[in-house]
Amino acid sequence: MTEESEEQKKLARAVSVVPRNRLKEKVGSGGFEEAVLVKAQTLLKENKIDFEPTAQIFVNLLEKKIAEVKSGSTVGDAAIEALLYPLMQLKSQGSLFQYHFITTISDNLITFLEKVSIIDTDVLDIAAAHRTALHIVLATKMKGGDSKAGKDLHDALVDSCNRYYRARNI
Amino acid sequence: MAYDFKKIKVLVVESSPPLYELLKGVLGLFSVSEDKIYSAYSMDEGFQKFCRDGHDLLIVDWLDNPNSGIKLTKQIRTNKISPNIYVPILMTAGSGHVNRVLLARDAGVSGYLVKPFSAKSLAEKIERIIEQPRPFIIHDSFTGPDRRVKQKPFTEPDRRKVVPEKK
Repeated sequence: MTEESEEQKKLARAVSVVPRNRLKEKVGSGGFEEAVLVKAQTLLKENKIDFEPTAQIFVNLLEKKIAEVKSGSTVGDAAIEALLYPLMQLKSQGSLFQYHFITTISDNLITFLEKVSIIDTDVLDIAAAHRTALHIVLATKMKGGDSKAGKDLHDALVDSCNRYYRARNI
Repeated sequence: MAYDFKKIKVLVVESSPPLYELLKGVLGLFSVSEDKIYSAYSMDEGFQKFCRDGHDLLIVDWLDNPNSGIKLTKQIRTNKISPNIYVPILMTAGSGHVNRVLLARDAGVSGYLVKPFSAKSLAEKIERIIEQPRPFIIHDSFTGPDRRVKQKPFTEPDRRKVVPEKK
Protein backbone atom coordinates (compact mmCIF):
# COMPACT_ATOMS: atom_id res chain seq x y z
CA MET A 1 0.00 0.00 0.00
CA THR A 2 1.49 3.34 -0.98
CA GLU A 3 1.76 6.03 1.63
CA GLU A 4 -0.38 9.10 1.10
CA SER A 5 1.62 12.07 -0.12
CA GLU A 6 1.33 15.37 1.69
CA GLU A 7 -0.67 16.63 -1.26
CA GLN A 8 -3.16 13.81 -0.95
CA LYS A 9 -3.47 14.40 2.79
CA LYS A 10 -4.16 18.07 2.11
CA LEU A 11 -6.85 17.23 -0.46
CA ALA A 12 -8.44 14.82 1.99
CA ARG A 13 -9.21 17.75 4.32
CA ALA A 14 -11.74 19.31 1.92
CA VAL A 15 -15.28 19.31 3.28
CA SER A 16 -18.43 19.48 1.17
CA VAL A 17 -21.29 21.31 2.87
CA VAL A 18 -24.89 21.34 1.71
CA PRO A 19 -26.10 24.77 2.83
CA ARG A 20 -29.75 25.64 3.36
CA ASN A 21 -31.26 27.25 0.30
CA ARG A 22 -32.32 30.36 2.20
CA LEU A 23 -32.98 32.29 -0.98
CA LYS A 24 -35.48 29.73 -2.24
CA GLU A 25 -37.12 29.54 1.18
CA LYS A 26 -37.84 33.26 0.93
CA VAL A 27 -38.79 33.67 -2.75
CA GLY A 28 -40.70 30.41 -3.29
CA SER A 29 -41.17 28.78 -6.69
CA GLY A 30 -42.59 29.52 -10.09
CA GLY A 31 -39.85 31.46 -11.83
CA PHE A 32 -40.21 34.92 -13.35
CA GLU A 33 -43.42 36.02 -15.02
CA GLU A 34 -43.05 36.78 -18.71
CA ALA A 35 -44.80 40.12 -18.28
CA VAL A 36 -42.24 41.14 -15.64
CA LEU A 37 -39.38 40.26 -17.96
CA VAL A 38 -40.94 42.30 -20.75
CA LYS A 39 -41.31 45.32 -18.44
CA ALA A 40 -37.74 44.94 -17.21
CA GLN A 41 -36.39 44.69 -20.75
CA THR A 42 -38.38 47.80 -21.70
CA LEU A 43 -36.76 49.62 -18.77
CA LEU A 44 -33.32 48.56 -19.96
CA LYS A 45 -34.11 49.62 -23.51
CA GLU A 46 -35.81 52.94 -22.78
CA ASN A 47 -34.37 54.24 -19.51
CA LYS A 48 -33.49 57.92 -19.39
CA ILE A 49 -30.70 57.61 -16.84
CA ASP A 50 -27.97 60.13 -17.57
CA PHE A 51 -24.91 58.12 -18.57
CA GLU A 52 -22.97 60.97 -20.18
CA PRO A 53 -21.06 62.25 -17.14
CA THR A 54 -19.90 58.73 -16.28
CA ALA A 55 -19.02 57.99 -19.91
CA GLN A 56 -17.04 61.23 -20.17
CA ILE A 57 -15.00 60.26 -17.11
CA PHE A 58 -13.99 57.01 -18.80
CA VAL A 59 -13.26 58.64 -22.18
CA ASN A 60 -11.05 61.20 -20.41
CA LEU A 61 -9.37 58.40 -18.50
CA LEU A 62 -8.70 56.57 -21.76
CA GLU A 63 -7.09 59.72 -23.15
CA LYS A 64 -4.94 60.04 -20.03
CA LYS A 65 -3.84 56.41 -20.21
CA ILE A 66 -2.95 56.72 -23.91
CA ALA A 67 -0.76 59.73 -23.04
CA GLU A 68 0.92 57.80 -20.21
CA VAL A 69 1.69 54.87 -22.45
CA LYS A 70 2.97 57.23 -25.16
CA SER A 71 5.30 58.91 -22.67
CA GLY A 72 6.65 55.55 -21.53
CA SER A 73 5.51 55.88 -17.94
CA THR A 74 3.35 52.77 -18.31
CA VAL A 75 4.74 49.83 -20.29
CA GLY A 76 4.17 46.20 -21.19
CA ASP A 77 1.15 44.30 -19.84
CA ALA A 78 0.45 47.14 -17.41
CA ALA A 79 0.01 49.44 -20.40
CA ILE A 80 -2.57 47.16 -22.00
CA GLU A 81 -4.40 46.74 -18.67
CA ALA A 82 -4.42 50.49 -18.14
CA LEU A 83 -6.08 51.03 -21.51
CA LEU A 84 -8.49 48.13 -21.09
CA TYR A 85 -10.02 49.32 -17.82
CA PRO A 86 -11.89 52.42 -19.13
CA LEU A 87 -12.73 50.56 -22.35
CA MET A 88 -14.34 47.67 -20.44
CA GLN A 89 -16.49 50.12 -18.50
CA LEU A 90 -17.60 51.90 -21.69
CA LYS A 91 -18.21 48.67 -23.57
CA SER A 92 -20.20 47.07 -20.76
CA GLN A 93 -22.36 50.08 -19.99
CA GLY A 94 -22.78 52.01 -23.25
CA SER A 95 -25.63 50.08 -24.81
CA LEU A 96 -27.45 49.77 -21.46
CA PHE A 97 -28.02 53.52 -21.80
CA GLN A 98 -28.75 53.41 -25.54
CA TYR A 99 -25.22 54.46 -26.52
CA HIS A 100 -24.73 51.40 -28.73
CA PHE A 101 -21.80 52.94 -30.62
CA ILE A 102 -19.99 53.49 -27.32
CA THR A 103 -20.25 49.74 -26.77
CA THR A 104 -19.30 48.67 -30.30
CA ILE A 105 -16.40 51.13 -30.68
CA SER A 106 -14.99 50.21 -27.25
CA ASP A 107 -15.45 46.52 -27.99
CA ASN A 108 -13.56 46.91 -31.25
CA LEU A 109 -10.59 48.50 -29.48
CA ILE A 110 -10.67 45.88 -26.71
CA THR A 111 -10.50 43.11 -29.33
CA PHE A 112 -7.64 44.93 -31.07
CA LEU A 113 -5.61 45.41 -27.88
CA GLU A 114 -6.11 41.79 -26.91
CA LYS A 115 -4.75 40.68 -30.29
CA VAL A 116 -1.65 42.86 -30.57
CA SER A 117 1.44 41.64 -28.74
CA ILE A 118 3.17 44.98 -28.25
CA ILE A 119 1.98 48.55 -28.03
CA ASP A 120 3.76 50.54 -30.72
CA THR A 121 3.04 54.02 -32.07
CA ASP A 122 0.58 52.65 -34.65
CA VAL A 123 -1.36 50.89 -31.91
CA LEU A 124 -1.50 54.12 -29.92
CA ASP A 125 -2.64 56.05 -32.98
CA ILE A 126 -5.46 53.55 -33.48
CA ALA A 127 -6.36 53.81 -29.78
CA ALA A 128 -6.41 57.60 -30.08
CA ALA A 129 -8.69 57.39 -33.12
CA HIS A 130 -11.10 55.26 -31.13
CA ARG A 131 -10.97 57.74 -28.29
CA THR A 132 -11.83 60.57 -30.70
CA ALA A 133 -14.74 58.56 -32.08
CA LEU A 134 -16.06 57.93 -28.56
CA HIS A 135 -15.83 61.65 -27.84
CA ILE A 136 -17.78 62.42 -31.02
CA VAL A 137 -20.52 59.93 -30.11
CA LEU A 138 -20.92 61.56 -26.70
CA ALA A 139 -20.64 65.15 -27.91
CA THR A 140 -23.33 64.60 -30.56
CA LYS A 141 -25.49 62.50 -28.20
CA MET A 142 -25.49 59.74 -30.79
CA LYS A 143 -27.90 57.31 -29.16
CA GLY A 144 -29.22 54.15 -30.76
CA GLY A 145 -27.43 52.00 -33.32
CA ASP A 146 -28.92 53.24 -36.60
CA SER A 147 -27.00 56.44 -37.23
CA LYS A 148 -25.12 56.41 -40.54
CA ALA A 149 -22.46 58.65 -39.05
CA GLY A 150 -22.00 56.17 -36.22
CA LYS A 151 -21.75 53.23 -38.59
CA ASP A 152 -19.25 55.09 -40.78
CA LEU A 153 -17.15 55.88 -37.71
CA HIS A 154 -17.24 52.29 -36.53
CA ASP A 155 -16.44 50.90 -40.00
CA ALA A 156 -13.47 53.25 -40.40
CA LEU A 157 -12.05 52.08 -37.08
CA VAL A 158 -12.55 48.42 -37.99
CA ASP A 159 -10.71 49.09 -41.28
CA SER A 160 -7.79 50.70 -39.46
CA CYS A 161 -7.47 47.65 -37.21
CA ASN A 162 -7.68 45.28 -40.19
CA ARG A 163 -4.94 47.20 -42.01
CA TYR A 164 -2.75 46.81 -38.91
CA TYR A 165 -3.44 43.06 -38.76
CA ARG A 166 -2.62 42.62 -42.46
CA ALA A 167 0.60 44.63 -42.23
CA ARG A 168 1.80 42.44 -39.36
CA ASN A 169 0.28 39.12 -40.40
CA ILE A 170 -1.87 38.87 -37.31
CA MET B 1 -47.49 31.68 -9.23
CA ALA B 2 -44.04 33.28 -9.54
CA TYR B 3 -41.12 34.17 -7.31
CA ASP B 4 -41.86 36.75 -4.64
CA PHE B 5 -38.75 38.80 -3.90
CA LYS B 6 -40.39 41.15 -1.38
CA LYS B 7 -38.77 39.50 1.63
CA ILE B 8 -35.20 39.43 0.39
CA LYS B 9 -32.40 41.92 0.82
CA VAL B 10 -30.09 42.51 -2.12
CA LEU B 11 -26.72 44.23 -2.02
CA VAL B 12 -25.49 45.70 -5.31
CA VAL B 13 -21.76 46.44 -5.29
CA GLU B 14 -21.25 48.62 -8.36
CA SER B 15 -18.93 51.58 -8.85
CA SER B 16 -21.00 53.16 -11.65
CA PRO B 17 -23.95 55.16 -10.26
CA PRO B 18 -26.01 54.98 -13.49
CA LEU B 19 -25.61 51.22 -13.59
CA TYR B 20 -26.64 50.91 -9.96
CA GLU B 21 -29.78 52.95 -10.71
CA LEU B 22 -30.58 50.70 -13.65
CA LEU B 23 -30.08 47.51 -11.64
CA LYS B 24 -32.19 48.95 -8.84
CA GLY B 25 -34.99 49.64 -11.32
CA VAL B 26 -34.85 46.12 -12.74
CA LEU B 27 -34.74 44.51 -9.29
CA GLY B 28 -37.74 46.65 -8.33
CA LEU B 29 -39.66 45.24 -11.29
CA PHE B 30 -38.63 41.77 -10.11
CA SER B 31 -40.54 42.69 -6.90
CA VAL B 32 -37.55 43.40 -4.61
CA SER B 33 -38.71 46.13 -2.19
CA GLU B 34 -36.98 49.45 -2.79
CA ASP B 35 -35.93 49.72 0.85
CA LYS B 36 -34.32 46.28 0.63
CA ILE B 37 -31.97 47.16 -2.24
CA TYR B 38 -28.65 48.31 -0.83
CA SER B 39 -25.77 49.91 -2.64
CA ALA B 40 -22.03 49.87 -2.19
CA TYR B 41 -19.51 51.48 -4.49
CA SER B 42 -16.35 49.74 -3.37
CA MET B 43 -15.06 46.46 -2.04
CA ASP B 44 -14.58 47.78 1.50
CA GLU B 45 -17.99 49.41 1.64
CA GLY B 46 -19.51 46.22 0.24
CA PHE B 47 -18.00 44.01 2.92
CA GLN B 48 -18.88 46.45 5.67
CA LYS B 49 -22.53 46.62 4.61
CA PHE B 50 -22.77 42.86 4.14
CA CYS B 51 -21.47 42.29 7.66
CA ARG B 52 -23.95 44.83 8.99
CA ASP B 53 -27.09 43.80 7.05
CA GLY B 54 -26.60 40.13 6.08
CA HIS B 55 -28.18 40.27 2.64
CA ASP B 56 -29.78 37.29 0.86
CA LEU B 57 -28.25 37.95 -2.57
CA LEU B 58 -25.23 39.94 -3.71
CA ILE B 59 -24.71 41.34 -7.19
CA VAL B 60 -21.03 42.28 -7.32
CA ASP B 61 -19.28 44.02 -10.17
CA TRP B 62 -15.76 42.99 -11.20
CA LEU B 63 -14.74 46.51 -10.03
CA ASP B 64 -11.35 48.08 -10.66
CA ASN B 65 -8.23 48.35 -8.49
CA PRO B 66 -7.47 45.27 -9.91
CA ASN B 67 -10.04 42.59 -9.28
CA SER B 68 -11.71 44.16 -6.25
CA GLY B 69 -14.89 42.19 -6.88
CA ILE B 70 -12.80 39.05 -6.76
CA LYS B 71 -11.23 40.11 -3.46
CA LEU B 72 -14.62 40.96 -1.99
CA THR B 73 -15.95 37.54 -2.96
CA LYS B 74 -12.99 35.80 -1.33
CA GLN B 75 -13.42 37.90 1.78
CA ILE B 76 -17.08 36.99 2.10
CA ARG B 77 -16.27 33.31 1.59
CA THR B 78 -13.35 33.09 4.00
CA ASN B 79 -13.30 35.94 6.52
CA LYS B 80 -14.21 34.77 10.04
CA ILE B 81 -16.49 37.77 10.56
CA SER B 82 -18.48 37.15 7.37
CA PRO B 83 -22.09 36.64 8.53
CA ASN B 84 -22.81 34.05 5.84
CA ILE B 85 -20.09 32.45 3.73
CA TYR B 86 -22.76 30.64 1.67
CA VAL B 87 -24.56 33.76 0.44
CA PRO B 88 -25.23 33.64 -3.33
CA ILE B 89 -22.94 36.02 -5.21
CA LEU B 90 -23.67 36.93 -8.82
CA MET B 91 -20.68 38.64 -10.41
CA THR B 92 -21.17 41.07 -13.29
CA ALA B 93 -18.31 41.92 -15.62
CA GLY B 94 -17.62 43.56 -18.95
CA SER B 95 -15.77 40.55 -20.29
CA GLY B 96 -16.71 36.91 -20.75
CA HIS B 97 -13.10 35.94 -21.42
CA VAL B 98 -12.48 32.45 -20.08
CA ASN B 99 -9.58 33.61 -17.86
CA ARG B 100 -11.83 36.10 -16.09
CA VAL B 101 -14.64 33.60 -15.68
CA LEU B 102 -12.21 31.09 -14.15
CA LEU B 103 -10.83 33.73 -11.79
CA ALA B 104 -14.35 34.53 -10.64
CA ARG B 105 -15.23 30.86 -10.30
CA ASP B 106 -12.11 30.21 -8.26
CA ALA B 107 -12.92 33.15 -6.00
CA GLY B 108 -16.22 31.42 -5.16
CA VAL B 109 -18.94 33.23 -7.10
CA SER B 110 -22.29 31.52 -7.58
CA GLY B 111 -22.87 32.92 -11.07
CA TYR B 112 -21.28 35.20 -13.70
CA LEU B 113 -23.11 37.69 -15.92
CA VAL B 114 -21.52 39.57 -18.78
CA LYS B 115 -22.49 43.21 -19.32
CA PRO B 116 -24.35 44.56 -21.22
CA PHE B 117 -27.04 42.12 -20.19
CA SER B 118 -30.71 41.64 -20.94
CA ALA B 119 -33.47 41.32 -18.35
CA LYS B 120 -33.89 37.71 -19.40
CA SER B 121 -30.22 36.84 -18.87
CA LEU B 122 -30.20 38.47 -15.43
CA ALA B 123 -33.37 36.58 -14.49
CA GLU B 124 -31.92 33.30 -15.78
CA LYS B 125 -28.79 33.70 -13.69
CA ILE B 126 -30.82 34.43 -10.56
CA GLU B 127 -33.19 31.54 -11.27
CA ARG B 128 -30.27 29.17 -11.69
CA ILE B 129 -28.86 30.25 -8.32
CA ILE B 130 -32.26 29.60 -6.71
CA GLU B 131 -33.13 26.31 -8.40
CA GLN B 132 -29.69 24.70 -8.90
CA PRO B 133 -27.68 25.48 -5.79
CA ARG B 134 -24.40 23.62 -5.56
CA PRO B 135 -22.81 22.11 -2.48
CA PHE B 136 -20.08 24.21 -0.93
CA ILE B 137 -16.48 23.08 -0.84
CA ILE B 138 -14.51 24.29 2.15
CA HIS B 139 -10.77 23.89 1.98
CA ASP B 140 -7.62 25.88 2.69
CA SER B 141 -7.19 26.68 -0.99
CA PHE B 142 -10.82 27.25 -2.00
CA THR B 143 -14.16 28.04 -0.43
CA GLY B 144 -17.22 28.32 -2.61
CA PRO B 145 -19.77 26.47 -4.72
CA ASP B 146 -18.51 23.17 -6.08
CA ARG B 147 -16.67 24.01 -9.29
CA ARG B 148 -17.50 20.67 -10.83
CA VAL B 149 -20.43 21.50 -13.05
CA LYS B 150 -20.12 18.66 -15.53
CA GLN B 151 -20.77 15.12 -14.36
CA LYS B 152 -17.75 13.14 -15.47
CA PRO B 153 -16.93 9.57 -14.49
CA PHE B 154 -14.63 9.41 -11.48
CA THR B 155 -13.15 6.10 -10.41
CA GLU B 156 -11.06 7.08 -7.38
CA PRO B 157 -12.60 7.03 -3.92
CA ASP B 158 -14.22 10.38 -3.06
CA ARG B 159 -12.56 11.49 0.17
CA ARG B 160 -14.64 14.58 0.75
CA LYS B 161 -16.73 14.61 3.89
CA VAL B 162 -20.27 15.72 3.06
CA VAL B 163 -21.96 17.47 5.96
CA PRO B 164 -25.09 19.59 6.36
CA GLU B 165 -24.66 23.27 7.18
CA LYS B 166 -24.13 23.90 10.88
CA LYS B 167 -27.10 25.58 12.55
